[in-house]
Amino acid sequence: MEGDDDISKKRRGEFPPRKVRPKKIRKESLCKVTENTHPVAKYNGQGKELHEAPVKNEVNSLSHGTNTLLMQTMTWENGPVRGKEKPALKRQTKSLRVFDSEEDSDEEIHKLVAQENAQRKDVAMEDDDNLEVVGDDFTVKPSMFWAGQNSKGGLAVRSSEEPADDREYDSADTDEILTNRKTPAVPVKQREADSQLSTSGTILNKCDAPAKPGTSKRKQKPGSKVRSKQPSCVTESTKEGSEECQGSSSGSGSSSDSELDYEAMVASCQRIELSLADLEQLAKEASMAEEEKNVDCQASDSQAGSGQATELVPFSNGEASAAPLAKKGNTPEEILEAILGEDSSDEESDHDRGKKKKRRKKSQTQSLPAFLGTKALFETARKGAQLGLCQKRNGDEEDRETSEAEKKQNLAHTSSSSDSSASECESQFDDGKLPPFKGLAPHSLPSNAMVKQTDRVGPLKSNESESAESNSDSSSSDSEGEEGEDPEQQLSAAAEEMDGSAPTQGLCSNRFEAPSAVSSSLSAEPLSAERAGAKGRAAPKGSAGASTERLEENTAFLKKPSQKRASTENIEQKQQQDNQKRLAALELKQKEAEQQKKLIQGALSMLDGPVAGKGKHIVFDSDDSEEEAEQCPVDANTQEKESSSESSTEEPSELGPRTGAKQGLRVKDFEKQVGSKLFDSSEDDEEDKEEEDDDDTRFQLKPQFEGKAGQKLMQLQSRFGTDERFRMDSRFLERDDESNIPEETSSRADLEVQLEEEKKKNLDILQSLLNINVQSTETSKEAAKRKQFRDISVLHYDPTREEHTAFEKKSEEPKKESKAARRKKREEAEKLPEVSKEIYYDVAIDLKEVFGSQKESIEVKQAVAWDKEEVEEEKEEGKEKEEEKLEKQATEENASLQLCLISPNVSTKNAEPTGFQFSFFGNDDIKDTTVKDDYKLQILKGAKAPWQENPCFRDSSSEEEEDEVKEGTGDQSASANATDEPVAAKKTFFFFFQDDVRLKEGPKMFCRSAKLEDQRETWEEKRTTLIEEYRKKHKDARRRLKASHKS
Amino acid sequence: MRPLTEDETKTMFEKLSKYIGENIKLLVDRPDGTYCFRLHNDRVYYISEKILKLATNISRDKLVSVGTCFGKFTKTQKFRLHITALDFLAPYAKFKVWVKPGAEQSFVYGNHVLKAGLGRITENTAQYQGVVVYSMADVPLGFGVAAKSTQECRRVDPISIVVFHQADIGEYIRSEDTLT
Repeated sequence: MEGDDDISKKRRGEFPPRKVRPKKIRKESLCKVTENTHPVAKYNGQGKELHEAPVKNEVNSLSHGTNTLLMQTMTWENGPVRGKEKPALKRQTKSLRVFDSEEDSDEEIHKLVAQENAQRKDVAMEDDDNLEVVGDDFTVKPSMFWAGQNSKGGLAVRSSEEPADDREYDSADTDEILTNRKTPAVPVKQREADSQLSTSGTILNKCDAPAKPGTSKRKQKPGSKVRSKQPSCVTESTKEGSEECQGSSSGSGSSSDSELDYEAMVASCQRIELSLADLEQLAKEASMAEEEKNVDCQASDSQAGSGQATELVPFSNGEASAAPLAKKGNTPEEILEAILGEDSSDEESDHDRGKKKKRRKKSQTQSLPAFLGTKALFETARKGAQLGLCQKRNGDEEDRETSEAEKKQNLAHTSSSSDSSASECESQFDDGKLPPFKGLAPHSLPSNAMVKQTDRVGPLKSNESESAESNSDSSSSDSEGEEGEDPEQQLSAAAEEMDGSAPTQGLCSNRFEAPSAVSSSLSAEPLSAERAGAKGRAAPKGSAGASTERLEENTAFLKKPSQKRASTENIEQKQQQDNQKRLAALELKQKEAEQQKKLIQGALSMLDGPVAGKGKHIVFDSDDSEEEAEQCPVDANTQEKESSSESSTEEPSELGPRTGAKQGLRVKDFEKQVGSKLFDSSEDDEEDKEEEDDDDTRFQLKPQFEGKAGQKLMQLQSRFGTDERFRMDSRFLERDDESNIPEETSSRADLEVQLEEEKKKNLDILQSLLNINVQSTETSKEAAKRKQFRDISVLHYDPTREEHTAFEKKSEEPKKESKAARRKKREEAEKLPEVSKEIYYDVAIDLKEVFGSQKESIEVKQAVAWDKEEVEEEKEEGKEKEEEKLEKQATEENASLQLCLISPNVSTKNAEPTGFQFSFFGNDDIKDTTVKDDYKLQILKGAKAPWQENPCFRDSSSEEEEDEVKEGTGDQSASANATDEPVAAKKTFFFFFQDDVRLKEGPKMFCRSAKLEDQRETWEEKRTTLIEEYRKKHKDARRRLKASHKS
Repeated sequence: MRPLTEDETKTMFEKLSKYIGENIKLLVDRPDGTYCFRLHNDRVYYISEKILKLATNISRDKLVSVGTCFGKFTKTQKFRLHITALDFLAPYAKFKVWVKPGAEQSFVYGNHVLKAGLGRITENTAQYQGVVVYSMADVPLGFGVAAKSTQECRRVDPISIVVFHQADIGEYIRSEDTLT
């Protein structure tokens, strides 16, 4: 402060020369222009000045008397200088030189230095402001550990907490930000980057402004320069991504103040959460209803598609603006609408559709890597959706294609329907519907990818071909065939997938309705009859038609022959028959395998819950089919057997004998089939029954195989196998293993003990090191005790056990001590007052003077005396009882010691009533004391009795007192009465207050302070002395009487 | 693998107490189980009893690491804390230093903390007191030794060192081969 004063003085001292200044300023301004070649520096200086408002204010305050304008120029002039000084010393020297060159005085330089110092101080102060000092109790946020980093909420809070720092950071180096943005994997940096996204406006704008919405789309595009901001979002759905991007883009687009932007971002982030919930809901809904699922998946797929479509648009077509499409992708509904719109537009214009389909195809193929996860999840459903799409398209196409398709179908139909045997063969299959669509399975099985490809390629091809056809209706039969095939393939794929995904056949049948409807539309023949299960002639027709179609597809060589069929019908028929048989066998086999799978699935689900309506359904379906299969042989035995033998599967071989031998048992079998088929049913039913009975015992826990010994036994048993004769039961258990267990436990205990010791040692070291009381050892002991905790209520005293001696009472020893010890104690207590006698004379003189001169002071003294008396009273509480008895005896002419013992009691006893009286007039103590002047002497005398214990006061009037004591009981009582008053005077307050002495004393009177026996002893001792004294006095009195009489 | 000798324990505790003070007791005497310190290849590992039992099945020469490595004894029998101990030091640290976002990188690269990078500091931090270094987002970054007391930190110029670097999480990458 002194320095400051000096400086200020100097500054003030400058004021006169300042008048010369204008010149200087001009010079300086010139210099400024020359020196500060960089206007930026100048600007910086100004900026600095703006920043350093306090400094300016200081200067301003210093210039209180002077021209403000001048001062302003001053500050303006200093501004740049300061600005230069701070960054580098060179400039400072330069600026100094500037001043030097002006031949300025030392004062100027001093001033500069001072300013610099001030500035530095200012900087330091600023830093101090930045530097936060926290107490020990500063709690680090719970999310201080790594895991907590990812939470978005905390992120938002934190980054909003330190905007200043961030700003600093941002302005510091922009490259870092870029690098940060490029490496968003590091959570901290990512957060920073996030906060910086908005703060560093220019960079972001650079990045984001050119970035089309398409690129800002969450989709990670390898080629795109700007990486997705949050890679974690990849897992999230596209909706989120788009929304988020919107939010962020809007935030960056505004490029306003950082915090505002950030808040906007945060707001958008919150919206993301909402969308997530929406997504979940959607997913639930999807799971609820299949169709909805399809729609959703469609939406998600097409979302991806549209997302990328928007990406691709600028590159591929450039027709549609990216923005509206991006908007489209916001909500699933919108997307759906967009897709539907696309579809509708497909219908409207083939040209557009072609393009869009291309796009879609691209998107689908592109979306493969990105959406693997979701694909895995919704694969089947999505396929269904795709198929649905295809169906739609096909439906559109069909209208145009029906003519060609019908042609072909009819061709196939005629070919197949003419073949009666084939149709019969078909009819033998238990399920009229399944096989035809299953028939495609071998064809479409190879891989799902293949199916997809066909899915995608199919429509495209057809579209292309269609577009070609639109010009010219007449086209090659091959292309027609392809067209015909495509939808069929898709349908069959759908059917297959449904088989795989949905185990319930009810669903399957539902599924099949759609294809069948399509096929019906294709073939223009009602298949509903077939669906109903009737095996009339319509069924073979339909199935045969389908099968022939399949034949066409599967066997390429059959296509052309089928066209030429009219000429070589007979040969072909045989071939076809054979082929169909083969196919039928294959189908059957596959069906068997699938049914087995279903059975296992159903059984497993049954295991989980006995209710398992699903599983039962499956079982009954399969049974139904088998029932049919069984019934068929009853009707027509031979053919079925042939086919079954041909198929050479396990089931027919099982069915065959059963149907042959135990037809009556079929109903029973029907129930048992589930179990028997599940395990391939190698056993007979009777065995089954037995085993069922055995099962209960078989799967019971066998106690003899428990534990280690049991393991040994188990091994032995396994050596013998399941031989009944060598069955190991509990008799073979070895008991000697128990000895091992304690050993193990002991070793464990050893280890624990070692660890415990180690811990103790460590804690000891710690204690010695830190000089703190580490109580953990005790706690550990306590813990050990807790481990051995026993319920006391359960505890029973057992006199035979030595431990229980702790529960026994030991009462003899204290009694033995009692007589001697108590006497000693008593003696000690009695001796105490004796010791005090020595001090007697010294204090007495002073006190006498004091008492004589001032009454108030007397009272004070009395108060003191009374207090001390109290202390003594407490000491001798033990003897209260005895004293009471003594009182009753009313022989008060005993030794002074005893009297002194009694008198306090008297005082205390009477204290309450007297206190009571006195407290009423307690307000004016002085009056009372004046009134009782006369009594004061007596009071003092009376008060001697209690003071006797106290050496100081007792002596004061000991002679008088002794006289009084000798005077007799009457005097004593009077004195007692007298003592009451001063004692009462001290108790100024009638009502009880907290920690009132009376409250403490009162209860004690009702309690026996010493033991009854002790009291009796003392009493007996005293009685003898009393009796003696009494007799003595009696004698004396008699003598006196006699003497008086004589006289 | 063996328990620490008394001297070793003392040395280690002295070092640890610079950072967490009497909170060592919480490490030694844990309510959730028995934990102990074991020396293996001059390194001190903090192991739970369970793991210790399991580790006895592995021969000494094959055992690379068990539990959490707290640090190692140098050839001169001094103890040097490793960054791996941070997880146990951070929650119990008595004196903390927070570095500004701009200085985080510098610290994590193994540099001392300068005054300019000091964002926050626990009051009453003495000179040469062991401190745990946090980022402003309360992420523990490492630990160091206070070069200046809190009061001094207020005064010193921005380029002076306030915390001497001891260990930082960057070591997980820099000295990946030696950390166990």
